[in-house]
Amino acid sequence: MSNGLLNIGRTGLQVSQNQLNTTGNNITNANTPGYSRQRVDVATQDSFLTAAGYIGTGARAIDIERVVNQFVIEQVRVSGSAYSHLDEYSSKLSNLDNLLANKSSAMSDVLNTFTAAVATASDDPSSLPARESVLAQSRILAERFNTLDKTMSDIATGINDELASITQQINILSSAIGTLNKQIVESSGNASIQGPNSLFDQRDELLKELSTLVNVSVVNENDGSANVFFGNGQSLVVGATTYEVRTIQGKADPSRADLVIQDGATLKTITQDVTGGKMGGLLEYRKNFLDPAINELGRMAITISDTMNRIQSGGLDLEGHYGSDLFRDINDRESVLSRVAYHVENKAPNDRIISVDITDTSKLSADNYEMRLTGGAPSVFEIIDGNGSVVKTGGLDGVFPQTIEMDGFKITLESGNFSNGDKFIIKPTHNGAGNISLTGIQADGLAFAQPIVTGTSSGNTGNGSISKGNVVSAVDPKTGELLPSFQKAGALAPPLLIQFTSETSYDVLDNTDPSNPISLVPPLENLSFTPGISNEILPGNTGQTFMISDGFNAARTPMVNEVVSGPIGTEAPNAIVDEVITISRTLDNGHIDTQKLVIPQGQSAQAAAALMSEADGVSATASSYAEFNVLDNGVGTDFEFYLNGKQLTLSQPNLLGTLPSPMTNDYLADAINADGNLQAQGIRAVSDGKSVKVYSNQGVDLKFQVEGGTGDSVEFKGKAPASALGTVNVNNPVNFNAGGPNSFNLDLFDGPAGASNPRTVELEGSFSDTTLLLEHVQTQVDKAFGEAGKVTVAQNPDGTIRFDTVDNDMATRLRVTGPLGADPLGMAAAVAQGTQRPDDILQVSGIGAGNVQALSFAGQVSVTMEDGYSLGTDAASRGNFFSQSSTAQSAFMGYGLSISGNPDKGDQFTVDFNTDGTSDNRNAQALIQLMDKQTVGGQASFQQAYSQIVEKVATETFEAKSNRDAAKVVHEQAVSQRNSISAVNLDEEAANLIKFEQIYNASSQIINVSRQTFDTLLGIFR
Amino acid sequence: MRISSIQTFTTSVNRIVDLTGQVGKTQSQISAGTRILQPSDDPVNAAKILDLQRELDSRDQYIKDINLLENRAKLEEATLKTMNDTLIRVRELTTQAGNGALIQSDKEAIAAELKQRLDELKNLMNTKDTSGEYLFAGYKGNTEPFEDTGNRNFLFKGDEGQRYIQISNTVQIPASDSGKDIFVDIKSAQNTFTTLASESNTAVPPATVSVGVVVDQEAYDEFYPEDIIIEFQNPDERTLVGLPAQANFNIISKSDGRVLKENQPFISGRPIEINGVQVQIEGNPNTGDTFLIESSENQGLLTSVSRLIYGLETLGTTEEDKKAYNQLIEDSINNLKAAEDSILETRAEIGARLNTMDSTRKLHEDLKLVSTELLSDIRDLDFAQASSQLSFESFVLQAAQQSYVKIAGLSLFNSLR
Repeated sequence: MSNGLLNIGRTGLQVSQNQLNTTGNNITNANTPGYSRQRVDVATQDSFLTAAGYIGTGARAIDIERVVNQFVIEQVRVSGSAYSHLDEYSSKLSNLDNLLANKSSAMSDVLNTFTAAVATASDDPSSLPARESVLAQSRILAERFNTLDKTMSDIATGINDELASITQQINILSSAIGTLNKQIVESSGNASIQGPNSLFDQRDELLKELSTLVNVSVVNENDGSANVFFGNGQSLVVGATTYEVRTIQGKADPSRADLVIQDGATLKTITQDVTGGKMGGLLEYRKNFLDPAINELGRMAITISDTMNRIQSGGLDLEGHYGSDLFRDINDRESVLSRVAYHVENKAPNDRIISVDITDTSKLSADNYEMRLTGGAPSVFEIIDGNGSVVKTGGLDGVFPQTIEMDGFKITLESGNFSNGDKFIIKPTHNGAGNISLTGIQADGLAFAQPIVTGTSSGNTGNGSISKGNVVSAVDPKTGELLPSFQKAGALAPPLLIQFTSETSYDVLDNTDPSNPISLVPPLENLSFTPGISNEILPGNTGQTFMISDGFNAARTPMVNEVVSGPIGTEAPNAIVDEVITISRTLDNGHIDTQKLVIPQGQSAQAAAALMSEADGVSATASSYAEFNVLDNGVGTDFEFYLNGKQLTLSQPNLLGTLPSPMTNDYLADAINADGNLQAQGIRAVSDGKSVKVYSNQGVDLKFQVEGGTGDSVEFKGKAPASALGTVNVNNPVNFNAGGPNSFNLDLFDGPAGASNPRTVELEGSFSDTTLLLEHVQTQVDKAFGEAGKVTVAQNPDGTIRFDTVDNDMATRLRVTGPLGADPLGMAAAVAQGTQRPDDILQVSGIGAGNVQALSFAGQVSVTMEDGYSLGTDAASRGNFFSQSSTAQSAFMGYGLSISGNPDKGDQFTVDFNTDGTSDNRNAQALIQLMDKQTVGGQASFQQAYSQIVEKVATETFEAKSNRDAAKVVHEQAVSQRNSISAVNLDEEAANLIKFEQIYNASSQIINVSRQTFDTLLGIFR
Repeated sequence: MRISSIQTFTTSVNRIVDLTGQVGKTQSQISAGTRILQPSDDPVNAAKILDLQRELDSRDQYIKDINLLENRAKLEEATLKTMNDTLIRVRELTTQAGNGALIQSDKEAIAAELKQRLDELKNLMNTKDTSGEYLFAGYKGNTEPFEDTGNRNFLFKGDEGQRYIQISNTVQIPASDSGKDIFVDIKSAQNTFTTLASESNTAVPPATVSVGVVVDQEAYDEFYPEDIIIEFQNPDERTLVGLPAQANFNIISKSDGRVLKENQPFISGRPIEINGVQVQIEGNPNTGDTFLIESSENQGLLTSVSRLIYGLETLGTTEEDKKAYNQLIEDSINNLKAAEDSILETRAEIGARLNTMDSTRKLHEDLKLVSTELLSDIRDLDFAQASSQLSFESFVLQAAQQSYVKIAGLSLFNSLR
């Protein structure tokens, strides 16, 4: 029995020793990371049966266990992962936030000082110091972009390094976890129970550390091991096996490292799948903020370069030259190639060349795009934008170069083997901020002036005033090429003369030779003007095209065989035949919409224009023209002349004085201008004495009738018939010496008032070579006229010889007389032909009183078509308004003008090249105004675009910081909860020490009692 | 709830760290004087600050531009005022010249002074500004705008360019006036003309054409508004009509090219009379050289004075000449008056511009004040509030520290002796 008591005391001692040891262990590990306090589980020993019942045999320690709550441990891991994600994310964002807002790195100040420099220079545009300051500010502007870009690229490189270092830490942690798993499984089979407690603690601590790097999920197995998964369920640790995580050069973008996990022989990319922890924070920052910010800045830089260069190119520098680029060309070869990244897994050979040109900065987004070849034959491509949606699809036609236009840029597949499955990243704006730089432009090369200057003729009698003019664009918005107006250095091509032909109509003429303004191509004539208000004089840039029916010497102009004869009143039909005009329009969906118009035979240009104007997208005007020279001999049958039924050869003493005889061009012109009916048809005439030019700005047919006797005629300018002068075959040897002297007379009728004025041409020598013969004749002709080139000598295709005059107006005549002496050239034959006129002159002669010869001229049609419309015609041998070779031309000149007030007939305004315009600041003003224009993406000014970037980053930083603070609280609470459960409370342990010490003492006392009991028992026997 | 010892420490330490951070931030705000240390402190207002600063910068620039512009306008005003004074003297002289009792030597004396005044006027019209640009040359700031092409026939070599300067987001005002508008395009009392030698003339030295004078207004009015070209012909052409070879010219109507008179003999300096106007051509023109007599409703100031001098010197005592002379004096007085009006009009315009500049500057200054206040409201720190916050935060920090020391000292082990 006392043995029992002794035993009970012994168990008490053992248990309390265990408890004291555990308490000691708890106290000493109070500050050990990850340590969970331990507790001794005590149970009573089995009782044994006596007669009195069951008697206890003491206590025993059955287990020493960690005080942990698995759920709370899990909480600590998850909240830790979330917190370190947000912490990393917000601290990186905060750096970017500081960078963008810092005075020494931000764009906003630089943009302000740039504007100020331009404004100062605009006050005094010829000042070189002011210009130098603009250049200096431009350089700072470009360098600021470069610095920001460099800093952000460095951050991107830094992220690559950080990712690499994190993967190393992950690998170290996961292999340590694997080792612990192994030890735990091994020691669980062992009797020792204390071992695994510290191993579990260690493993929990490692898992906690791991989860601050990346979000992991932990699955505890029955054998005590913990399997670790991350990302999209990828195994990191399974039992004792670990999988290595690494970074490699980015597949889509070599400058952005990718994460891979090694699984046997295969590498699996997991960049997109990883979340949480420091790693998740870095990846999110890179994807959502760093790259977009770089792109946004790049878009700004590209827009600034492009818009400013455009303004430069449309202006004049101090030397009067068109401005050269201020910033590096956004589409130079290096830049267009750098906008594409080729996926490393594309099929060999890697010989593909793709270039990306920026075509319209106002449509550019800051996205990166992915282009994929998705298969099929012919191969199909799809282009995916930053949001992951397919924005464009199409087929590869296999013919290079193939271009794909979208969102303000143009992808050109230049060459190489494109295979299904190929992927390309298109980054239109990514390098923009890094690539912007100042060109080698000098201060005097800044184009502050505009190339045009308008003028008002001092002789104007009306009070019309012309605006200063405004260059809208120096380049064709469709092709990007310089517009024709600005292609010539030092001159406008062409300078313009705006001439008012009445108070309500004007012509715009090519004023290259101010003494002889000519029609523009395409012509801008007979345009209407509304007096009193401001009128836009030139066509605007609305994509309109302009097309004019064939010119005067065309199919519709009468030929000599189309002159008809008959009694007075006989009218000749015009030469117009049935014509089918097709107006087509290509719709957005590729469908072509067509309208067919039928112009009936004999239609006037006026009616044809009215018909065409009814069609959609088309407006047409008509004008007509004829030129004649009257040759009245003043004798015999009276000469009479009619235009559109009006007899012009009537005496009008009040208006025009007495009727001249012979009839003159001047009188006929005055008679036309004096007639109200003809005026109502828009007809006016101009005579310079040699010929009369008749115009109608309404495009009515001009129908003439000529009545007169032999020797009375009117010459009309018409369509040239085939003709030849002389019949001599000059291939035979010619000897002028035989039977000489050999000479003939050439008469150009260039005496006073067109009088005969013959010159004698003397020929000599012997020729068997035609070239030498012609040279000789030419030399002798020049000698006779006393100047070279007045009459030229040439050979007709049929071998005959031909004389031509340089002047080719209506009054030009050439007559050969003589020949004197022998006639080896056969000049007698030429004499027989009489006076030679220019080829295109139709002579309409009188055929006696009471009868007329008639002919009529149809006008021409000018068509203006809206953007996207085109015009075609049917084939016809003769008599169409349009020929199939007619093409529409853009009438856009690149600048706009307005005239207001009330100009009078004859008033003139000029548009010239701004020669010596050193004090002009219009282009500098355009630069200043550019700063406020919605240029970036067509939606924001430069400053606004930058503010938006700053605001976006700031807002996100603010949000990330708040989220981090919240996550921090959650994490701290989780840790606190864990500490509350598992950490050591020293006061508690102190109390336990006292408690266990007391039990120990008491248990000792039990042994003491047992011993005393035993002694008492022994004393009985003493 | 059970509290572990480590919690006691970490909780207190975390709290102290947080509080130190707060104190640090408030201290940074006070030392920087601003509430927003980085944009994320207040994203919305940070963007607003950028906008406001840009606005202030641009207003400063506008004020600078206005000041520069003001100086230029004042220079122009002063020049025009001097011209006005000179013109008053010219008008006096013209009135004197109208005295019927004058003999030729008196007229020549008046002409002599008029030449002086003409020179003075021309020099004023060719005034340069402080940066060396001609004030009235339009865009051609480095080209002398009024050039004597010979015979006191002045040609305007500038252009009609007018420089505009932006003085606010919405207002652009002219920074210059073209001499053509002020001094050349002045409505004339009668139909008049200008003369011009073609730039493509080939004679060396070039033949000059005088300003000329209208000798028969009725005849000219009838012909008006046609322009006339005098084109020199080959001297030999006169032989064709049986006359000796001689320099000769055709008179051609410009609008339609009709030849009005053919092969007129030419003697340098002899007055040529066509349809009521008289001009002189001096020199030896080459064949093909042309001179233009351009009809106009306008007559330039220099032309008016020059024409008066021409009349004083050339119009004689015949009845026609006397009539033409009287007409010339009358027209001259009217034309000079019109020139004065034109100058006055420009001065009034400059005055109006100066007013606009003044009011715009005032506007900029007022709005700057508003923006500065707003900026200050958004960005600047309320120091009173901030320093009281700082002392409060320091106080709390101190309390936290003291309580930490107290709590850290509490342990049951201290009682175990």
